[in-house]
Amino acid sequence: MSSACEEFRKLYELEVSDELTARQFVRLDRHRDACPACRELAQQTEPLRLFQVLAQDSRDDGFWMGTNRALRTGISEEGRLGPGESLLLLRPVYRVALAAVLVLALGLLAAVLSPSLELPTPEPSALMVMGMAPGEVMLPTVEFIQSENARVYEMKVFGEQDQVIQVVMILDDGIDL
Amino acid sequence: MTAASHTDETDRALLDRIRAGDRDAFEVLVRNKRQQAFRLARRVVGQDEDARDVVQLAFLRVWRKVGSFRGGSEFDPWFHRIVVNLAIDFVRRESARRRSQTDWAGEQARAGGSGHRALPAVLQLQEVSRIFDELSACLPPRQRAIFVLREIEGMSTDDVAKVMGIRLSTVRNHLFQARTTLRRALQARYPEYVPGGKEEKP
Repeated sequence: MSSACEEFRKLYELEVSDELTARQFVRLDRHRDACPACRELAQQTEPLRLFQVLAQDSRDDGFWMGTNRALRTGISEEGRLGPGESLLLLRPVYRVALAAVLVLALGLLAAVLSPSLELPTPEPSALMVMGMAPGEVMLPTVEFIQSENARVYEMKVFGEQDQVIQVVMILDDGIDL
Repeated sequence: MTAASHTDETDRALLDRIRAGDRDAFEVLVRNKRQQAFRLARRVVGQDEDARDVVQLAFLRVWRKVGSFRGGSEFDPWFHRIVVNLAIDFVRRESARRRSQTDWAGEQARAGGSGHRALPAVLQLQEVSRIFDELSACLPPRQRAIFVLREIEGMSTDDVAKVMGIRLSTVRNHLFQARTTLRRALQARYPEYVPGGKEEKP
């Protein structure tokens, strides 16, 4: 046994009892790299050898299903992904989520950018009936509300002295009056 | 030419073909290298699905960067560096999120393979994997990667330094820290797995 091997065994005892310094570890590790016999000796009593079984860890073809397709897609898109590429975007579930978010965002954008509902301009004759002058600012009232979803109900109420009151009811849950 | 006929080609020959845009050659390379890449990524990121994402992205990076890969160099250290760096980046990005342990039983069931015949080995692997995930969670990702390369993949310290792109002394420092941490944690939580500890698990 060489002196280096003897030193290794002393150092290794220290390592097992958790008394090794970082500097001693360097010497130990160097020799472990260089000497197969000492490496084997250490492995017999090394608690962390437990984890060496993980070197056998593998996955069968079922696990890799879809990987080649994803890679082919990635290759086809080569040049279009920037440095901000995301790992998560490779997963179908994230792609679906991203598509849903994009659709929602487009919907919101369209709603914001679409022209607001224009109120009809009353005919001058109607303004006269309503007691307004042309050009006078008229606040929107229920009469001018247009909505495809609105339901309009009309009814007449007969009062005393043959008074007839026409009541128009507009029901639309989605409109803010 | 079919993909299967490439299986015996060396990495270098495959890389030459990939440089020329041969996708069959690329698929062969993926098949040849994916298991080890997965093991590396899996031990660093701690989740099967995340590891598969890392592996996919690593192969995409190989496709993109193969032109810049020097022909005289070995492919494996270069590729392992890509995998490990991506895995470390992933862990750092995801570090705020606490993830549950991998459902190995579910994985085996979904895989539908010959799990029954290899039951004892599978169980041992499951158990060890679970313990490693638990104990290594307290290691910084770089330290974890170095431990995996050295102690699980069996690379020499030189090779680990090449893969990580750091000095030998830095590798040994990280390795020393990782081994000390894991050894203490193993002794404290699973003394039955430590030689000379409590009784062995059946």
